[in-house]
Amino acid sequence: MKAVNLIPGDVRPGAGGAAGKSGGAAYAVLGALALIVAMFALYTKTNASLDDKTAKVATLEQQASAAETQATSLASYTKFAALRTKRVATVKQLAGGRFDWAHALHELARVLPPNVWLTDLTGTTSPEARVEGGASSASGVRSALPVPAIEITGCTTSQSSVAKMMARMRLIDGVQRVTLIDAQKSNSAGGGPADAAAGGSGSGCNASPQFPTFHLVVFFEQQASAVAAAPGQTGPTPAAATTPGTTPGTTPGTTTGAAPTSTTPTATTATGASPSTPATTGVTK
Amino acid sequence: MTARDRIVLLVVAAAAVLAGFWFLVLTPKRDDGKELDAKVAAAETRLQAAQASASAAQDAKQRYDRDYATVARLGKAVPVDDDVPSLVYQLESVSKHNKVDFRSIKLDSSSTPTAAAGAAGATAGSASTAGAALPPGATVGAAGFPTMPFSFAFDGSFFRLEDFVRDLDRLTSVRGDDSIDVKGRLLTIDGIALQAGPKGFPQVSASMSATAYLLPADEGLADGATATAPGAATATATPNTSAAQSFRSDR
Repeated sequence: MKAVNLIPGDVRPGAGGAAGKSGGAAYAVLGALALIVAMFALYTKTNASLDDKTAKVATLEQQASAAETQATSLASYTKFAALRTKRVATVKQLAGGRFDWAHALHELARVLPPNVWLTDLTGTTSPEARVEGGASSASGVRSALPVPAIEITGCTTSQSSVAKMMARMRLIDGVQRVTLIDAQKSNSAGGGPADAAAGGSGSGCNASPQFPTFHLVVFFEQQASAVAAAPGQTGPTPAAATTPGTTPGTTPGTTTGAAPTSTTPTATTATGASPSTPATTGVTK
Repeated sequence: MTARDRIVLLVVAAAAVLAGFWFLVLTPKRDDGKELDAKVAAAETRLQAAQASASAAQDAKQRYDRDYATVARLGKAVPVDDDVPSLVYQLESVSKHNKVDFRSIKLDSSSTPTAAAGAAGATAGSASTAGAALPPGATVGAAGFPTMPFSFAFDGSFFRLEDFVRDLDRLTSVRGDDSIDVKGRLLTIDGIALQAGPKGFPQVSASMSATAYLLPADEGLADGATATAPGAATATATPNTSAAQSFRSDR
């Protein structure tokens, strides 16, 4: 048997389907209200965020202005501090970039073989540097490397001693190259130019015409800190020898010789006359 | 119009309202928000820079006395003027201390500035001083740093001379702790020539070429500052990041 609902359709419970009696208008109104509330909330939140940011900008700018005003009022102190920093950096760069001549001379005395006599010694921090009464760089050997170097003139007892002398020079702290310019025996018994420079003391090469006179150049390494301390510098920089701390020095002629090590004799050109730098004023004894 | 049509119409209308709200109301606000974010970032950066400047300025003010003393002491190593009398006195003093005979001092006006002078000028950065009120004989380095080339002559023992050169360097020297010890004039020895004396080595006659340094003429010793207050500032404040330095004067 099939059940039949005899209640009229418009009065049955749940009449009108899901839309109900209003045909869905109530849902539409509720949806619209929800939408309006959501949009209002979003709008309000966005506005609040903007207000916060605006206030933050104003606060930050106010604080920045105050700080800038304070900095400006003390700018003279800042400027003086910058001046002091610059002065310190300049003096440190100059003082720290100097070549350590005292250490170089100390090392030279330490390694000089006993049978070698020096008659002339000229050290320069760069090929352009000139010393009054110093040796000439006419041979061009000195100008080969833009580093500190010592040009040495002297004499010894034999050519093999010249080789030993060069090997000993390699033992000097911070030496990168030892270059022989010439080593020659004098034709006359009176000795060569070195004897004249020695003042005819009798202890020079005039002791025997078989004693050769030598000229050599000892090149030192460029100090890394001196290069780094001069950014943008294109020219040569005076370098300093490495840290002292070697064996105590001895008088020239008391150091025993050592086995020759590798040296690099490259030129055999005779040296020229010593130039002198013009002087305008001075105090002389 | 069926119920389905009404629902579709409502949904479309709601979507249209939502889109209109999003694009016409909310999007401009969001754009304003982005602009404000950029302004906040810029303002924060400006504030940080200003605070750093203010802090540096405050630090500079607090240590002004020490800075002034340092600058004044550095003026002993690198004076404003040539200050040759002081240089001669210091050379004589050091040579006497090392038993070296100080024979002569000459000003080499024809010498060119050395590489060291050029390097210093790079740091000094005072190109504006070129030729401005320099003492006679002073030359301007590659970057405008005033230098004075001198030649010295000495007689003495090789080893005494070695000590003499060491003491000359120690007049102004950088110590192990990276501080500067200022006892006298800063000199860079550019060259040394030793010739055997009348009795031969180790008695020698020594010639030296050396460079003395001067402060830029447009700065003076303290750039207008006094012991109590700095001079008028024209530059904008900048953060000072320099490390603390210590100085000692023994002479």
